[in-house]
Amino acid sequence: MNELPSFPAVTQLAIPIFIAAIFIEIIFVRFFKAVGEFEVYDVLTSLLMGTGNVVAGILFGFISYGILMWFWQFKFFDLGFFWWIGVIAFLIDDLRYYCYHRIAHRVRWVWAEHVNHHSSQHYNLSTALRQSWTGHFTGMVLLQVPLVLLGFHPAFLAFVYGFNLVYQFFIHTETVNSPAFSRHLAGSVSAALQSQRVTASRC
Amino acid sequence: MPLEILGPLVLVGIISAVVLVRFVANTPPRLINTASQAQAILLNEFPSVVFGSKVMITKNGCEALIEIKEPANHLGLVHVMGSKHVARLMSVGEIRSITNNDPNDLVLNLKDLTLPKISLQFETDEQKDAALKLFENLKLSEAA
Repeated sequence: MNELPSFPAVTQLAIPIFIAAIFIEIIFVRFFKAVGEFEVYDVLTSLLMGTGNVVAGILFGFISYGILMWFWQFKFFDLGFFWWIGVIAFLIDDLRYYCYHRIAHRVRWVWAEHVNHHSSQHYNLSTALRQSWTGHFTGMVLLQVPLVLLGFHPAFLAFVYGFNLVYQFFIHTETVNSPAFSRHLAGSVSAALQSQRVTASRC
Repeated sequence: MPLEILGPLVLVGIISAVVLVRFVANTPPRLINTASQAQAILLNEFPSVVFGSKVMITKNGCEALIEIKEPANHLGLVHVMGSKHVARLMSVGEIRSITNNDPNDLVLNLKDLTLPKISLQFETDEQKDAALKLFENLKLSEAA
């Protein structure tokens, strides 16, 4: 079995980037007349919910990880930790996230957790951080079980998911258009999040 | 990232963003100026509502009370939230109490954790009395 490398916490490392991006968005809207709207309590709520989400992840992340590690013993393959396996894992996990997001908008049980993300009346980068605290209790971790059985180590999936979250952060804005490449390359993400942009704040 | 760095970074980031929005980029509230505007906001959230004749807009244009025929025993409340609006249909059961303050001020105490209290300041005493009448009609029709 491949030795488990130590993966950095991508989303935690991205926090300074998130903060800087929010500041830049605010400046663009205020001083360069870019499209965007802010409201004090809305921004505060989004940022506090994001903080709570990180804390909840630290406290309850073992639930999801433990479930996936239990399934790891039944894996069909062990794909290891090569960088190109990470790229494939990123793409497949992105599709998995699309499925989760679709289910979250269709199934009341999961919507009860996901609605928090759509509770803002505005759509800016701080809204991206408006995340639920109960994601580890929905059972949606089971969507990652096929990936684990295929041979993607749970720790590796958590690592590439961090990049997914960082990418998704930058989509939550009216100030800039989505990067053109995302429409072609990450179609599932782009489709899901374009639809999120339309439905955001009115769900 | 060590917690000793992450914690203060998050705290400073949140405070800075909020302060920046408060003093630099807070979007001006989209005030309610006309009765038809208030009704349109409510209709957007509740497409099947049937309006009565009265719409009471507060002095600052941040809230509006809207008389409702259908659904029965309800009153429409629209209020500004930043550059957006929030609309709700209120029944008697959702109102904890109404405080009649002077001058021209009504405070609704609601049984809603997300909006426990809302202050309605009207231009004149007559408007405040008309708003109070709407609430009394609500209680009477609920009791009937």
